Amino acid sequence: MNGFNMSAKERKEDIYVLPKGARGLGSPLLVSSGAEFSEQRVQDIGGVLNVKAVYPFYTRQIYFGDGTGSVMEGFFVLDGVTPDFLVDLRPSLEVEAGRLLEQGDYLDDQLNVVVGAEIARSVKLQVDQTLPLEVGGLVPRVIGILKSTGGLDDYIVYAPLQDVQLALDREGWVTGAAVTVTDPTTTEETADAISNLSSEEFYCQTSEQIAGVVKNLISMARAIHLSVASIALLIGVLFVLSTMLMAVSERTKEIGTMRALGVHRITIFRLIVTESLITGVLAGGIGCLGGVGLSKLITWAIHKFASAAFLQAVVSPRLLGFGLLIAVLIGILAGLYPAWRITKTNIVEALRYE
Amino acid sequence: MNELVVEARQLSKVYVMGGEEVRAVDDVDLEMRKGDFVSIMGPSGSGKTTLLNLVGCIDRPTSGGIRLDGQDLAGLKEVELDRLRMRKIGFVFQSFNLMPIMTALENVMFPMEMAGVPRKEQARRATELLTWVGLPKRLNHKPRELSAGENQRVGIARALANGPAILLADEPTGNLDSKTTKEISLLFRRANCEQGMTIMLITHNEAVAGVAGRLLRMRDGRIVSDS
Repeated sequence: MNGFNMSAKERKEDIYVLPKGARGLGSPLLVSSGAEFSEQRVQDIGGVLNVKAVYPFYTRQIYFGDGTGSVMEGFFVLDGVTPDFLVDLRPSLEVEAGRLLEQGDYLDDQLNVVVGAEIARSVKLQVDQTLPLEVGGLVPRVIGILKSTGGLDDYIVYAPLQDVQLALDREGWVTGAAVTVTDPTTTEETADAISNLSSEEFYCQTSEQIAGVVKNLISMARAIHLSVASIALLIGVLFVLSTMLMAVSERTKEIGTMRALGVHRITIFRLIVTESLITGVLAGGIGCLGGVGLSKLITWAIHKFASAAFLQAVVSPRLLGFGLLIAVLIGILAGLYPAWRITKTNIVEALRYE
Repeated sequence: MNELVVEARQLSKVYVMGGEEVRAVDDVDLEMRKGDFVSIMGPSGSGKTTLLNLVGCIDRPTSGGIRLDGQDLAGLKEVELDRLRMRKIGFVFQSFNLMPIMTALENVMFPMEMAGVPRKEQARRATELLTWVGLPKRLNHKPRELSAGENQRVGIARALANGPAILLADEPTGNLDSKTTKEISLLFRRANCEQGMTIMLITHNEAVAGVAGRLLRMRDGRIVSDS
């Protein structure tokens, strides 16, 4: 979600014009309903007061993979854009290898593409290689690989607009247009004016509206994440605590015997806390492995069933480390009370315990 | 004359149960010399176990004092009492109280491990003790794999591990059949005769008490006979 946020901030367009029936948050990346409007409308939009430039695009989700059902298999977003789209609206994009789209790539006899870092990584692409798929009979050839942005652009394949339209047999049609304005203070009014051109064909979303929705989504996700994490933490503490209480209680007589044999209560305290710590570390390790497995499963499910190649569940080394640290802390905390309680027990009473 | 291992003077232990004062041990004087084998008999609640617990430093007297192997227990800190129990007292329990996850050898090595005895020496002495109690072929068996009599032999070997000044046994034959009871009684007798071990043994069994050289009878917290 942070990647999404960063990616949204680095986009320079002020307004998205989207066809009626399109879903998502305006970005060409998220428009995948198949809805479109006539490219002729782009000129009308350009004539609206305060509109500085219009960048039509044609977006389509494309299946990729080797058909083996591996995690790499799924869909990516093919984004047909005009020559100035990347230069004007994505100035922060840099190439890792090869180059960005240039004028000469447009209406070439082949489909030249610039691929996002994650797509290149997952399909193991290099410059001058072809993608393992066809778009309208054309096999896309990689001319550039983008540096990772940590955001949505890592999952996009950029191609010339006209080539995409031709390949998909959708000449004269676009799935949206990005608009920049001259005066940002009247963006809302400009968006209304664009919508009023043909409210049956398209509608507008401003970047601010999208940013607000994204912000809300991120806040909601964080709140859910925090709640789930807190509940999981509480359950974890209670589980280890009850396990340790039971384990220690069952060994009351053993501990009484150890005390009678001269083992000091601090030594027993340390033994119990160490045992609890080991339990916590083992449970944490198993939990981390489970988490990695689950995240891979979730990513696979997203790619397979939600057709959203740009989304993936990531378990970073930092998160794993944090998880293990929490497990260690839970282990220690959950061991303290049972250890304290049992070492306070009178030796005579502990020896009588049945 | 042999040195005093236990010297208890005007020893009392008073519990308050349900608002009522119970004198579990009431003004007891007791002396045991090195090599004494004393058995204690008496009805339930007569104060036998409480007296043994006081001598064994796992309970503190309400009044009176005890000297153990020349050391006054009054005023000793908990950690000093722990050290005293570890080095000078060997406990034998009615239900053996062995560590279930440890083998016989490990159970006997355990007190030595806690006392900081080198590992090699622990294994040597534990093997020697287990051989002495008659279990040379059971070293690597866990308590659940041993009979009750064998478990009690391991318990006795464990009690002897750190070379204590006194062996305290609370009804060590209470869970054993008559044949095994006799064998275990003779083992205590051997510990007393062959190793000169000072032993205090609580029993309800006259035959077991008979192997000791001295018999104390208790009633209502007092020693009523010493023969």
